[in-house]
Amino acid sequence: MAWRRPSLPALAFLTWLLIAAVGFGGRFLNGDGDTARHLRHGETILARGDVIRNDPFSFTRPGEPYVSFEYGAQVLLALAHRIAGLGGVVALGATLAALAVALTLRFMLRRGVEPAAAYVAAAIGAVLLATHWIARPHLFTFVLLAVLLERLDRPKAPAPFAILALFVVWANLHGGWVFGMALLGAWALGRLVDAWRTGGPEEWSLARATLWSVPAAAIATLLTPYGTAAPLHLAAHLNDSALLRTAHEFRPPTFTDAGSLVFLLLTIGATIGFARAWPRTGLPTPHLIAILGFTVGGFLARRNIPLVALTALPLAMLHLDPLLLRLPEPPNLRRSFAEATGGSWVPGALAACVVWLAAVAGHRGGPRLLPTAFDANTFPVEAVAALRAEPGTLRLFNEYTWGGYVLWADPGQRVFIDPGADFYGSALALDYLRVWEQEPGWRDVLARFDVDAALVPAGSPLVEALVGEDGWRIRHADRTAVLLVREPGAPAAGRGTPPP
Amino acid sequence: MPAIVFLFWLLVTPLLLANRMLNADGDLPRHLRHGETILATGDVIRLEPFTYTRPGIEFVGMEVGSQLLYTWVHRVAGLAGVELAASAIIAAAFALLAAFLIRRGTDPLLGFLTAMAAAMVGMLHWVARPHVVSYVFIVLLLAMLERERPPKWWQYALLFLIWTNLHGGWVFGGLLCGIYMVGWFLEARLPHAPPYAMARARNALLGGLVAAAACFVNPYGAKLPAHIVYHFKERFLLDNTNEFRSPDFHMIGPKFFLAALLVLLFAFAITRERPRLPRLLLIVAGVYFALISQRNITVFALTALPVAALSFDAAWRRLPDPRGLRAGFARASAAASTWPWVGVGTLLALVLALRHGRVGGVEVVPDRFDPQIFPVALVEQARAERLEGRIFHEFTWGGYLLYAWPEQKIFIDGGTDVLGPDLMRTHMEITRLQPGWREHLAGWQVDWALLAPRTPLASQLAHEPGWRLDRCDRTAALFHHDGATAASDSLAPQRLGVCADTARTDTARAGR
Repeated sequence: MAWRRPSLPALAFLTWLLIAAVGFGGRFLNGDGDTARHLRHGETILARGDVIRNDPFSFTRPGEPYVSFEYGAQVLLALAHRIAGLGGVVALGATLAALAVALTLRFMLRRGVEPAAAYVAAAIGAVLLATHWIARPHLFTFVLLAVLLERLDRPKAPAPFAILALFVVWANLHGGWVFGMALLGAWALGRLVDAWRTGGPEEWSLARATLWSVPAAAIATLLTPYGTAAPLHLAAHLNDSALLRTAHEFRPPTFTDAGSLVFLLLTIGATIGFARAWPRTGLPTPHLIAILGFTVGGFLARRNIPLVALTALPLAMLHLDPLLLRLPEPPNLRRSFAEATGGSWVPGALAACVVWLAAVAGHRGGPRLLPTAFDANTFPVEAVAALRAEPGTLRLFNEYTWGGYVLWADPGQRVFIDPGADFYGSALALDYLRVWEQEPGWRDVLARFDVDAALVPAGSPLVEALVGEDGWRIRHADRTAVLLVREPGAPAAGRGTPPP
Repeated sequence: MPAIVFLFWLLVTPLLLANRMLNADGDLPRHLRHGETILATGDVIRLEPFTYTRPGIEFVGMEVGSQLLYTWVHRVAGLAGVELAASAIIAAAFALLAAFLIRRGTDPLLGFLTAMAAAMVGMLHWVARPHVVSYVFIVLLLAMLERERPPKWWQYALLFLIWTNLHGGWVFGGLLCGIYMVGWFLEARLPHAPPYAMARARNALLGGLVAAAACFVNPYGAKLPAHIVYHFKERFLLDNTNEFRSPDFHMIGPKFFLAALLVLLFAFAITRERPRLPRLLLIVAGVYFALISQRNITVFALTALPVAALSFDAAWRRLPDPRGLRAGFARASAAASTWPWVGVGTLLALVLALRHGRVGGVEVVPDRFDPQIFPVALVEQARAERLEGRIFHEFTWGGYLLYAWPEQKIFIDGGTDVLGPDLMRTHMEITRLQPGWREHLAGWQVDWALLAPRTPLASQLAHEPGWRLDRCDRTAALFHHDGATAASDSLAPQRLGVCADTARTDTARAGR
């Protein structure tokens, strides 16, 4: 095969794969406690040969009906772990993250955005995506959203069967299909508006065809092992305002953070762009709805910022291109990018192979280019080892994000709570917060759940409070975590509030 | 039409936003106490006299004039008067905005809707505090920078001299001049630039220079601008002060801002009009500052929205005019008068203020701080009993303590620009029970702790040896330190629980 230079998407894939895997490998594993939880869920599903239908992990809601909207991704993460250990999990996460960037770039190039501008926009998008680079199921949504956008923004409406197939895959991988529905809805509504404005038969035909995709996608979301329970559960989760207010990733962005600041600057850039460069061809209504809708999503919850990078950013670029072309350019920059629009995808595939081989090698005792363990400064690695040595089963109050790690590192141990907030609900989250912040009644919560051990970060106020309670003793302490155990017979709430 | 805006907000603000205007934070009582101190001593405050944690450190006040203004009103008309005065200032700012838009030739209906929308977006930070004075000056300066005949230097000087001595918001005035200067300068370099662009850039530069010079003419001299610069560089203070944080779009107030932002983006995307660069820079600067810090949302509403309306006026006029609504509004606006109505409204507000917000025995405008937010009852009792000793308290109650218990020195108040980040950090460590909190309380020789009953520290002190729950109600719990060796108060948790449950019931009832 004759040598061909890598295509721009392949180059973007290669670049961001290496940056993600090597530069951000630790973040993929240690961003929060959810990666470990998903691995444990995936292993449980693989071991049972069935999805989880009743909670086997907590002592606060044991055996209660369990619905998952990300079981497929959990299985894939667990398989990556079986093949290449935690390095494999990083490799899978980085591959998905880089693929999303490459697909977004390919979309812009195919729609005629000037190559250098498209490449820069994809890089900015990657920075936004990096705000949520954690090896978790939502990475599959990144890729599928990019695929859907490319499919929707064509002169012909997508075939309902293709949409059905895409959403069946999506619904069985991750609950982010709701954002796919939102994008689909934007297109259906936008094309209806455009047809109404122009009144042309072709526009009406296109709008009707796009509209058919919506029921196809809706039906697809029911084709999971949980049937109607999955979308209902997801709707209940997204409507639990108390939970959304307390979960960090659902909080609005703080614009002094680096990632959020990029989002802010992008919003300002888009404002300037649209103010100065009126798109002479007119802005299609689907584009307008998607740009505004996903931007609002980014303002409402920081976890939606990456979705802006996958939708609003490339769509805006289709129309801001003329303005960017008026800017001065470094010598030959645009020409060299334009020459690279063809090219081969093979280097990208080779890079993926290299990353995966590195993961496997690290897992089998070879050189460790990718992280192979959870960070002992972030997770209670030593304390959980001490926990495993404790006789009997403890009813453990654990720090929220550590719940997933405990499940993964000590599979016999049940937890108080873990980052699966959709299952535990806001009531238990508020109970957790009451203990965590020692609000009045925190001792009563511990007594109600008969808690006899606690795993909390070193230096947290709760350590000092529990040490001051009767019967609680420190069993293990290191620079990351403290394990406290209540002596048999001592009241769970120490000197709790006596009944009035 | 400006009269309608003025009367509407003069009526709505004290009636519907009364609780927030007075009780949003503990800063109003702090400003009143500062004003009283200045009136009593006949000089501005130069050394910190209010805390036992930072006694005698250098004090620089950024809002002396408005503190005096509020204090005079408070002496004559009580808290209801203060609230009405703040409402009148706010209403005046948005009425001026409407007048500015009409004078610049905007369609009257668009001008009216913009002024009302700006008020809705900006009401997030309407609190009876000195910053509302800056709202008026921002609109005045914007009108100066936007008018066809450039302002004279002495007009800038007059504006900035008054502004500097009323409130620290003059910094934004300087920034506004800078934005117009850069905007006109860039505009002048574009093809088809208006011939006057460079002259406008020079005039805006003149405004900025005058602002820079005027900010030294105040009782503190050069210390005032230096102090403001220090304040904005203290990242810890900004990160931990609610109003300086990014807006929380889960709350209703910032959602108005988000809606305005969307409308702006939408309008830019679908209209052919291209705003001139000074206006565009002002809009994007407004967006930036509002997203960084929610207290700037009002500034965005007062600046970005009106210049956007000026830019989109032509597109607005191209829209259909169903039932001649726009034309009818324009005719009515041209025929209507402003000043008589403003005069009548102001007079009625003045009468109501002099009656301390009461009409025929009915309290229309509150004349007291909310006892469910501030520890009114416990402070009254403590003051009557002449309790002595150092007190630790909730952060937002510091200003209230200064106001209601002047004999008592406090731990901290909202004046963190003077008290500094270290003290604020210590206060947070204590209230969050972080390691070392006991040592902090012991180090400051704290005798009393005045806390909300449903807080971790109150819960902990109820169990803590050496601390006794002296009294509590649904708003506050007062603990006394009996000495490190004293046993814990065994009934304290139960008594505190009763007070906390009452507070919770009240909260739930209010929520319903």
